[in-house]
Amino acid sequence: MHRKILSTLQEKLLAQLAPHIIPANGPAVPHFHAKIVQRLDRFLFELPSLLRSLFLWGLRMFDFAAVFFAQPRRRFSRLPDKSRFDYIQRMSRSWFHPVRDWLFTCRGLILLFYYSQPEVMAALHYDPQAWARERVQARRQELHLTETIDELKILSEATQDDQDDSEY
Amino acid sequence: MIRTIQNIDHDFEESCDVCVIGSGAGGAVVAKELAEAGLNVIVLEEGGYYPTSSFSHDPQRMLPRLYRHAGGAIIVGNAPIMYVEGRCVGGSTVINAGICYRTPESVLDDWRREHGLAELAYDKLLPYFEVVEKNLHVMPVPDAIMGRDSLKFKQGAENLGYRYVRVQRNIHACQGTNLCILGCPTGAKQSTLISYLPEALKNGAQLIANCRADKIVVKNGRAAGVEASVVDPASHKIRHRAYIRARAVFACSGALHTPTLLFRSGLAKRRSWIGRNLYLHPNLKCVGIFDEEVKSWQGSIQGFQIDEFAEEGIVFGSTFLPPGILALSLPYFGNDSFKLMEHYHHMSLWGALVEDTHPGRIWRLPNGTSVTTYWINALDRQRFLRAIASLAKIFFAAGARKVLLPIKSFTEINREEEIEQIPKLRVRASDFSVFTMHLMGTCRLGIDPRTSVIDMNHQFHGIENLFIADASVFPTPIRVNPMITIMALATRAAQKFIENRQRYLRVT
Repeated sequence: MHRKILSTLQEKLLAQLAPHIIPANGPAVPHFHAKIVQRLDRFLFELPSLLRSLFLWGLRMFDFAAVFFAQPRRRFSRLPDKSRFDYIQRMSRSWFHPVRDWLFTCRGLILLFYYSQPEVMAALHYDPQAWARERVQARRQELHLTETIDELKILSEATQDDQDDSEY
Repeated sequence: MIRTIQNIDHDFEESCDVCVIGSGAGGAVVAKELAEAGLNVIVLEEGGYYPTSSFSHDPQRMLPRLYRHAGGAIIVGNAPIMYVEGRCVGGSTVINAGICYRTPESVLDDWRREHGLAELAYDKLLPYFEVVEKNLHVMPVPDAIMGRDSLKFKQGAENLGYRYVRVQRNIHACQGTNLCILGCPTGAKQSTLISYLPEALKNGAQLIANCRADKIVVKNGRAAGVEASVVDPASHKIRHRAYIRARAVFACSGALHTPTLLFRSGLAKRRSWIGRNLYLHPNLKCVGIFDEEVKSWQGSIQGFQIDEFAEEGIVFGSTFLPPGILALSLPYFGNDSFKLMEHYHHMSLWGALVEDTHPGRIWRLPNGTSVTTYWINALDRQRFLRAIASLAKIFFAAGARKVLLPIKSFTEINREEEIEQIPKLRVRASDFSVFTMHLMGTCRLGIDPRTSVIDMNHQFHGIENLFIADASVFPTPIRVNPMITIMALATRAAQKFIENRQRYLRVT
């Protein structure tokens, strides 16, 4: 299990930011808030420590900067919904590129998660699992293979992640 | 034999003839060649072992497993450049598109003229290209798996009269699944995971995964071994320590991590060129939207490349991304993003690879890691605009009705007439969305020890039994996808080592 990165306050901020990044009229994802926070925490854990620190520092600045750039002049975490959206749009057009880049990074992570959800992929009529399964079978038939390919025989048991891992 | 964190439960020491650090394009080749020559080889791989059967279409699952920093690594400078690098058994060959090009003759001529590398002339490297291509099953992408996006790309090139070539890839019975970047689930893409490494293991090599090389130990002017840590991928904690006693060491960790390892090993003070000369083939992507369905996620990841502008250092190719990764690269929020993504089946993603003209650098940090800096200069900014304008032109020539651009201040065009605005844009480097997969040059080959890190036999200047065989050895950018070049040079390096093994393997 990885070490938790986000504090309770940071989780709350990201959970407040996320609904303004994903499409309001798009497919709903059950338990979205809990999932997105967990996913972001996992991803931040993988980043180099310097980048991670910069991201978290950027989150704090994003919250406080709303006092100067949002209407009403409050921290992002205390803004009404409409004001949050307007503030995000304004920051996305900032001339100061670290602000813009931070926001686009955040946006990217949230959308990576959202558009990888089965409900959303179904709405896009994209079924990669069925497609890959069909292609795996097609190759096995072409080459007359009867077994799954595991090129390197590992002497130990598979990792917990890898147990029953094959989807195809 | 392969060992991972699952079956390592204590600190350990091993002895071998050659310790190879890294199992990607360079390391796997060296391991196979040396093991086949009867040498006792141990390969250390920082990443985990993930067999083909574990590959999934889900980026959330595969990015943390196969990619360094889950794909979220950044090079700092006047524009943040995202770079992706494999960190798993097989390295970047597991996650790349498998595009295979020999080093262009003009590049090798340049190496000969400007850098004195006559031994790397095309006719001298030809046998190595041929053997690598045979081992990887390199072949032209067949018509049967040519996706509609590739056919559109070709149509655009033909309508404009641009020269294009059919791409060669390392594939065997490829079914056009187009999940290459998350690990090929069919086993068609011949990454080193399924080509070179099994051969190395059959010939007695050992592979230790989840094992990060911390330091190359040098005693009395010779490499004596490698200190390493077995790192738990789930917690990033060091579980065990290892020491690999070796009579020779090959560093094959890639253009960022080989110099970082050399820094940690205290070898940089001897060679000021370690970490310098970083080139990265900046990559810019445009998305075109067509009226008809294209379903770019079906068919070979790439079918053709346009090399009309190759002498200017710009090539174009098609690719595609799963929706999550595609959406993160598009500059839209909220409902605007979904309005666009609803056209997923109508989208194509085409990219420009630009040969950069100004190098970056890797800097040592006190904590044993490094930071990479790179500045996009004015010349390359102009070339980026030229490349984007040309891509947009190709899209409209192929019938696109809208093109999304990788420029934050000018994100889309809907008519061909708007293309002429692109070269005139006044943009900063930070306005571009740039990424790279091709890092190279940071431990370059050369005949002069004052301006290079390794000699013609890939031997580290001043340490007889330390070698480097990965993309860090390139003296210049090479304009094409680097996998074949890395592997050919690594094959040559291994052969040179075998020819001189008596000298290199003397016991200290």
